[in-house]
Amino acid sequence: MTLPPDTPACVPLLEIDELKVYFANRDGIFRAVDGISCTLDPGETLGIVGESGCGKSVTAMSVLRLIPSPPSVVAGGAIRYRGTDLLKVTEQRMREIRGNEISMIFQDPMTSLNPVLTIGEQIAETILLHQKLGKRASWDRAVEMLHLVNIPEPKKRAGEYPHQFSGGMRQRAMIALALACNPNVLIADEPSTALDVTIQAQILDLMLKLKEEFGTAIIMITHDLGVVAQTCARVLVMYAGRKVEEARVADLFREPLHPYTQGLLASIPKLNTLGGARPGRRQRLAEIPGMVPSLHDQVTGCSFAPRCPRATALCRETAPRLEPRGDGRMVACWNPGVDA
Amino acid sequence: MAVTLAHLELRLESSNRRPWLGFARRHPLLVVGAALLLVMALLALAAPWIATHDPTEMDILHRLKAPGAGHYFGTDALGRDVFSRTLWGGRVSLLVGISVALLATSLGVLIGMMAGFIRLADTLIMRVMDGMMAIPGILLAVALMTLAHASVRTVVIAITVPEIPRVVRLVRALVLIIREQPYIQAAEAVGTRYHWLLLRHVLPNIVTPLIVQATFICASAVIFEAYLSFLGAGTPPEIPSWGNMMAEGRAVVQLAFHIILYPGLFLGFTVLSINLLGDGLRDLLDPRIARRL
Repeated sequence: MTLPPDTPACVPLLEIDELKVYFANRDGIFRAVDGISCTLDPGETLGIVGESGCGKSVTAMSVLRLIPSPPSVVAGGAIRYRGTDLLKVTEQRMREIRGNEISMIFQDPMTSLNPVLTIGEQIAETILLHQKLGKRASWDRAVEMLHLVNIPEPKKRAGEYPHQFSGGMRQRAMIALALACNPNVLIADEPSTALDVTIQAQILDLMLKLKEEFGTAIIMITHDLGVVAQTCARVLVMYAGRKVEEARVADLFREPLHPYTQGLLASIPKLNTLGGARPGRRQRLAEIPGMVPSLHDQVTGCSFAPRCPRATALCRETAPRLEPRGDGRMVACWNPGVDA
Repeated sequence: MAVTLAHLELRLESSNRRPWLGFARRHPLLVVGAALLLVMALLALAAPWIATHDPTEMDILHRLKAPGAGHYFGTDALGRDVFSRTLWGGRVSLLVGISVALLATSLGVLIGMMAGFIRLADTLIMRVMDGMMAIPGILLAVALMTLAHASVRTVVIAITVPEIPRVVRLVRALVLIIREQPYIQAAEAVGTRYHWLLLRHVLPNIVTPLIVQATFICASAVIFEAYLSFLGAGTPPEIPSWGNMMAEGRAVVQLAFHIILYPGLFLGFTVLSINLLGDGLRDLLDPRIARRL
């Protein structure tokens, strides 16, 4: 993967720097995203994992400035795309970026395609919007995109409506739509969550294949560590609006440092549970006790402390800072380690 | 199983051979309504050629004649031919019905979409609409008629105004649902412009209920015109309309019931046909069924 010509060396393709997105309503301020930082290099796949409501999607939507304001407020930080802060560019420029340079795949393919427009029209429209192509050429390109995402008979299918497509096919059409203008960054917000397992694998394979082909960098947002293992190079674990751990995928799975990550990994069901379970008797699946704290409350200590098996007095008083641990790893924990 | 399959194939074959028959069987309301309305429209359009008399020509010697050979529907209190007047009256009714439907729907869409998308405009527009809905439509129309010179155009305006709030409410409610749909956000995420988003992504999604609503507005406008004319606040008396005719026939109803009967029948069938058409369209245009045809 070569860098786009106008990218200065050493500047990451996308850099999120101490991003804070708050929601204000009558009950107070909700810190949905509270100081997230990460970088994305060209052609890289970065995973963002965390349970529901930890701020994954808000982070992703903020990159495209798709969160309505009010009620949201960007309270601080920057999102730099090739060195330009996206939070400061004009709406006009933002529209040029959306779909053309940064695009997004949504969670539910059933509802993210317009039911009254044909699939081909929707893809061609995006191409027409961003590229110097005629109507005819845009349509041809749309058909070509459908072919690329393995839709059989793309010529005929392009003229069909979303309800004539199955869930997996719709998600493939969404991928075609997102990649139609050959963006540099693709944000995939739980792209496989709404699909059944076999289709999930197909979709992820397809995304990886196209990523190689187009050289697109992907931000993969998911709550499924299996998806992360299958697709990502680096992963970022979020908890209650904060980043708690960042590591290469292999390192994270081999040696999770944050107790939350350890809990997440322990709660994946395994076929043969090790650890002395007697044959014929199934071991109970591990869980993380307690609930995600309300983002409304001002947490003084570590936000995971109430659920953490290793929490100490220090954890409850002072929030740990992200500490680099070598090898590009980072963890925000006072007592990181493997001994759970 | 085999029997069912053979049966299906047979049905498929027959519907392929005569597609119109299959369509009529699946949408009987639509076909009956459309056919009836077509007949009414043709009669009204062909009035200059079918009508046996000049609709405004008075013939004092042949007043209140019963239906018969010379005058199919008889004559009224001034000796005018009821048949010819009924045909000509259909023109006014249909013209008013269609104009009001088009005008009220397009204005309603414009205002409704503004209310649905612009937060600030919403409160203002909807309070005005609430206020308009609080006034009985007929009263509002009569008031508007008294302000202006009586003509078919003022009748159209007077009927349109009380119909607008209903369209606005419908459009606003639909827009509020549609704009929260993920595909609107998805369209935004590929850089679609605001007005294009409204025109291309929101509007087509609300067209179906609007068409159905427009047919019902058309039907109610036809009746409304008759009300207004009956009250003497509608179409000017020199233009024959069903409402005018019934108003004039009211005084002599015991002597010549036919003066009220025929325009009344035509009015009833026209409104029925438009309502049937609307019901049929609603079934036909349901997006999940529509594309399977």
